[in-house]
Amino acid sequence: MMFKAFAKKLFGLRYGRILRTVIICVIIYMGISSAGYEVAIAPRILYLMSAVVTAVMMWQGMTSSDTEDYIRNMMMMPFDRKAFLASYIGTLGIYVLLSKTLLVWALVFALTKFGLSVILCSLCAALCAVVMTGCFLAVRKRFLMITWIVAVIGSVFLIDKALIMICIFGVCILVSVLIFSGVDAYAFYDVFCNRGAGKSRVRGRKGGFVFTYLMRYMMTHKNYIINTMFMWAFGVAIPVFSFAVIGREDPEMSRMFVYLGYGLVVMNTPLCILVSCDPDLERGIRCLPKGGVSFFVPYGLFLFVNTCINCCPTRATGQAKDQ
Amino acid sequence: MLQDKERTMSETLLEINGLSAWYDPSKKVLKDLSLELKENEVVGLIGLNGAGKTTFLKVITGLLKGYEISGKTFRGENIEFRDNSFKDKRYVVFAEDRSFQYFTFRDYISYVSHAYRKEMHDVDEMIKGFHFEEYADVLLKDLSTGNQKKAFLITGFALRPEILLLDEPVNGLDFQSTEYLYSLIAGYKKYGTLLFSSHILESITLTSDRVMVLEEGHITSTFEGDQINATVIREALKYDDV
Repeated sequence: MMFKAFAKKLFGLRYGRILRTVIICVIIYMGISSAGYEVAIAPRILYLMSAVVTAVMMWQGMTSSDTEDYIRNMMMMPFDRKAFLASYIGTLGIYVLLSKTLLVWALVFALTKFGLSVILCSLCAALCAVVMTGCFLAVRKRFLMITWIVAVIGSVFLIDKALIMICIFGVCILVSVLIFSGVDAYAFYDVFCNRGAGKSRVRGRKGGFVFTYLMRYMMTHKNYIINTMFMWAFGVAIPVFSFAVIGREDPEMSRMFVYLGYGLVVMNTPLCILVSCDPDLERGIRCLPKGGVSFFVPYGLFLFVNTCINCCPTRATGQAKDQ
Repeated sequence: MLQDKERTMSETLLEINGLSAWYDPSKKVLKDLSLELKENEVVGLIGLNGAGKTTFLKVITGLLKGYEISGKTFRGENIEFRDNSFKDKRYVVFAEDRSFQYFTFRDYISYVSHAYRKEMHDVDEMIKGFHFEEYADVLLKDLSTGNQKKAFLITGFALRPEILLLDEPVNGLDFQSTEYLYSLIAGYKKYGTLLFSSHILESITLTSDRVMVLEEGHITSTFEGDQINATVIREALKYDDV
């Protein structure tokens, strides 16, 4: 029942989001692999990508205010600790793997052909990231956890054999599960407890309200900043990929690929969907006299500045490749 | 159950002594708060915004870890707010609750029944009383604030826990539902003890056996029986517009 409650929240009423994401991944995979492009990606980069994307998305999922609202009522009631941990980490892990990591895999596996052992190893890396992120949040022994993460990343760089890496990730998963056996489930709610402390007074402003609002929004949702940084990194990676794959044969086409891919990436940053993902804010803006103009003009300017800053590394990468 | 009913109101159910709570350790929201809940009584907790009503309920619910307390007992025995043995005995209706959005009311009530391992009582009657018939099979996410509140209130009353805690239960309810809620609150002493927080004086004066005034983090005055009237409590709050 607990698993069902989490699963319905994450995957929608009839688990439709799973099917939608899988179809998108299949389309991406088929589209890119049928074009015949190939890029050499080292397995260790694949392991790191799988683990980092999964870990960041898990962290974001476990610390979002939406999650706080959702688990508060559940924690208020009597519950079985093990069932809660298994349902919470399990459903969130499946959600992240299917909706985020699978997209990365679809793209990478379409561009590079890997052996079964490497694919299995990247799956283990992602699973390891799921449970280790849960441990990191629950245990809160930063030094220990950072040492552990550094050791895992170090072994990814030092060890070439996929089978040995599978064993290392397997051991990490086992250790994480053992740690979970002693973890208090409330640790996952306690991360939200200090948020009430943020009721500190802030200095009033005489102007630039929208900019102030946007800056405060970003500073309050630090995981959105990380998300945006990832999008920016993706924006830089796209020209690298497109120039490496089709740049030499068709520079014009590769440039178009850059603009198209970059546009898609930028449009999906948390800042760009600020209004569309917040119906209350949208309603508030619409209710104000001249709300559209007074909010959207500064908002547009903010996005413009943001995008210009964002463009610099992408353009620089593109130019370097042109030369 | 029979034993429960036979318990007299004078017996102490829950006792809390010297409770201080905080979100930021340098700024305490509750300061040395002590209170006692008796068997089968309805207690109203009134206070102005920011007095610490919700924080107090969060501590009892086990959701706030930033607190220190010199004593907490349930029927004379020490308790931990996060232990299932205590949680089995209480249910909380939060002022705002956006959980279980992809459950219908009927899904949610089955879930709660399963979690508490208890049967639900008078569900259909309360659905009628709250005019909730049309919404019992609608996803919680698609319900208005008031109807979401009704879903959690019906669940709380149907569960009949030994302590029912309601945080601002009147907020968001229409006039008819508010009247019906008052009758449920006033009648709850048949089944257990009910503690509810409110900043609406009428909700307290019409239903409570005892009223506690929470100001600046601790109970400043308590009213019982004939003392419970709006004028006296308003005077205690030193605020004319409650």
